[in-house]
Amino acid sequence: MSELIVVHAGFFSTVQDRGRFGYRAHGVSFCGALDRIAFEIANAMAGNRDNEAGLEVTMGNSAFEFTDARRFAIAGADFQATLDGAPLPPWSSHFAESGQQLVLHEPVDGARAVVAIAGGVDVPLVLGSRSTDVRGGFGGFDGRPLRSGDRLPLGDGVHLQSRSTVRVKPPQWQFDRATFGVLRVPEYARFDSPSQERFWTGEWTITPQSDRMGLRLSGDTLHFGDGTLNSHAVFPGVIQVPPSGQPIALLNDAQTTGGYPKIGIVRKADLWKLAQAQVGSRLRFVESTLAEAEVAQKNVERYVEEVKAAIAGRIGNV
Amino acid sequence: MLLAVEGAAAMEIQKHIWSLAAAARSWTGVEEAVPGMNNLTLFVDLPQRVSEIEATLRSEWPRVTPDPSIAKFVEIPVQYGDAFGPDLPDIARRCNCTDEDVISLHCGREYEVYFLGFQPGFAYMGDLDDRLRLPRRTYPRTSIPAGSVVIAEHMTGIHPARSPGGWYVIGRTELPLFTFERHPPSRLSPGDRVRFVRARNG
Repeated sequence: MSELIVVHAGFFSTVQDRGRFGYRAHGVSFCGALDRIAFEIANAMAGNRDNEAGLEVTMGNSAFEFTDARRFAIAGADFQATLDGAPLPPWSSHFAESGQQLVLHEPVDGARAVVAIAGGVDVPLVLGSRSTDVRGGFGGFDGRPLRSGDRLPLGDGVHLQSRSTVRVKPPQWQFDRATFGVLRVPEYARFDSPSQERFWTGEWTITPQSDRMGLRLSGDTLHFGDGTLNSHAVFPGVIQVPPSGQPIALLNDAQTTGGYPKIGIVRKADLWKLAQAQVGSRLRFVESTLAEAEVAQKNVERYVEEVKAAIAGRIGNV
Repeated sequence: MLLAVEGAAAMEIQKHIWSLAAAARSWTGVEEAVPGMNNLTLFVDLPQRVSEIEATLRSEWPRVTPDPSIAKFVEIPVQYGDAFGPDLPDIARRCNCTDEDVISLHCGREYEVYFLGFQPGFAYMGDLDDRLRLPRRTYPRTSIPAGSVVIAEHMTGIHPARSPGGWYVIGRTELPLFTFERHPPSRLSPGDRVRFVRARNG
């Protein structure tokens, strides 16, 4: 069996696929790649079928070594990737020879990159997924973030052997002070007026306590009328306001239920941008109607389909 | 899509929510049905299905009846106190009773599982005896061992895996609560009736 050697794991790297679905009523989080667009396109560029497990690398500074000749792809944040020292453009795929090293350096923009390898990372399925549930300690590679020295088994299933380099135009976004579309929730009305105003007009800074469970934001204090709500299902995009008055924008590894009040929900089409916001950068929220959110999501899906079709035109179909 | 029932949380309402969740899982477009306390959230795959599912929810809610066949009875053997229950003496003190009283009150009744959340297989169970009710810890523990039996407010629960937690640890069970290879993986499901019993050397 072929392996990818983790020469240097970096700050926080995990094996992820699309996520673990169908078990939320059992308390199991989705997990999965936080930047879904990068994940889908990286797999396509690597010549894989949909949903092969890849690596999610946070804030660069990682290195991997190939033990056989394979296609691979990088997408998401620009970490100035090199292959045996030769610079690789962001959002591109290439063919590595055995022994070559892929190195991800300092971030230029964005917080998380996806590395897709031909054949996918071949770790066991747990509850139908290869995503790492770090909080639960299961799935992915031993249920934990990667460590230097880890050897990741690679699949030899269906994937393309094309040696053509592919490059795609990445989705555009603003790296600081980006705006995020937020849907209203019923308990929004129970926040006092100054809080509601502050939520929309304020700039929210991403604190270092942020992780795959959620972005902990700092800014003005938000006041909810009456402390707690009954526990209810939450999910990625929900913006909770705990007693501290500082909001948390939930991400994929967050718990499945919570009792904190919500002030809004980041629309699905903007979730990948949340994943790419670096610690220290600022967010702003703008109200989105459900109709607008649906249009935005359709646009994202169409973009992904078009890019995948263009890639297939270049390297063929799996 | 969140269906929230007005008024105070009550086991009677919760039973209707479980039945509705079970029914909703078979509706076209429903990917997940997640009960909460007095509410139910449905995850819908396509936006165009939302209004139909909403209409179905509204028409089914008044008609749904609790389904006793959903529930099973589960007995949980627990070793109380000492190293397994570091918060037991503190609870006793704050509730003005002895350690032994706390144990008897905890074992002395049957609980029902309201819903699962917090971590895979964690069952929120109620209702705890009035005399044992305390608000959650001000400072959560950073690492509660797997199998730990915990209480807070009007609920009790068991940590299927080691994790941080804000409830009080009174004992430990060796019974596995979440097993990936099982179908379903959680030992406990909403509606199950649970009784805690002292383990032989507890």
